[in-house]
Amino acid sequence: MKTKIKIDQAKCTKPEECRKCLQACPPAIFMIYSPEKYSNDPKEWKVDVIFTDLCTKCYECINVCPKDAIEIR
Amino acid sequence: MCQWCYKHGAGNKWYLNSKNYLRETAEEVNAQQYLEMLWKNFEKVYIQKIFGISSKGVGYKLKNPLLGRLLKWYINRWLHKEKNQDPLRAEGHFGQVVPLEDAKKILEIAEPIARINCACRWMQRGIKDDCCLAFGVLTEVAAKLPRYVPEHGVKKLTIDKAQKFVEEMNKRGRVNTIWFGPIPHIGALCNCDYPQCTGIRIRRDYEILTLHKSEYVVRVDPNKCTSCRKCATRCQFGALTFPDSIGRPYIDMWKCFGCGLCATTCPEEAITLVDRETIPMLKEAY
Repeated sequence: MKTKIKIDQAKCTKPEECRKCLQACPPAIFMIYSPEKYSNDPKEWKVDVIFTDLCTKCYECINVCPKDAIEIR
Repeated sequence: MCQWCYKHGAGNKWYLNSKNYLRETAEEVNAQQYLEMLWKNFEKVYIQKIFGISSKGVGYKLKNPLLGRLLKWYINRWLHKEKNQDPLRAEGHFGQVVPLEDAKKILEIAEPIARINCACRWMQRGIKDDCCLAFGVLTEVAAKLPRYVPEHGVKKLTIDKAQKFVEEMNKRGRVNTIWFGPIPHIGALCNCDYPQCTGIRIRRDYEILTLHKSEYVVRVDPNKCTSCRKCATRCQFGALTFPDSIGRPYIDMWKCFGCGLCATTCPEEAITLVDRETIPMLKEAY
């Protein structure tokens, strides 16, 4: 079964400052990027999951997220 | 030697051909513009859509026997493209593992050299780590992009300082890799570790050829080994284990990338690098 990871972008407001999930994830499957073309404005950066298939569902990211923005199914 | 050595090595290894570091070569392939576009949009390039397919959960798609093979073939074809490279598809941008000795030789011919923040570590871990050594045009390009500028700015390094830096990095367990940007121009020497390095990541986990194995493989001399196990923690590629019953490292030579990390830590010099060409079954296995 495929893992589904959802990040609530409305809750994840300051990803550039926080970055906790990126650093906590054992297999480093998260990524921080600017959704539009390159932007210097940190407000435009967002966190997303790319290598979903490598997720082990250890829930480390959910534990560290201060905004409860991550949901794993 | 690998096929790029024959094409761009002038009788030597491609990364030891000083022509590939020259400003003239950079101008020939329009490296300034290429690197600017690539580094500006680094994250976007990495997670771009392929055939309109999103790269989210790309591993599931690559595991599909038919679609996966097609995707890999298609991506590998771009990465190794030699002409009219599109920076937004990272065409002509791939690398090779180099052992410490070769990394030091590279630093003697590349000019100028400057430390910049690693693009991979920033996008994958949110860490700003100035462990990448940019050469020539890339030093100018990175200086314009705030997320790659280290705390104290993009400063030029002397050969001696740069060599000491890679030695230190090697001691700390980083794999040295050299990168085309775009082929045949050489952009940077990186100090990578898995899984933060996106190159090692997609090569190891998905067998996409962003990063090639080095020109060497390691061999163990069982007579010299004293079972100190210092090498046991060094391998990033899952090639070295330390089976208790034989009391010396076992190296899976098919998996070995020839980075030489196990060799540089060995106090008895029991692990040595040999030319990949000398081992018949491995000489084409890059």
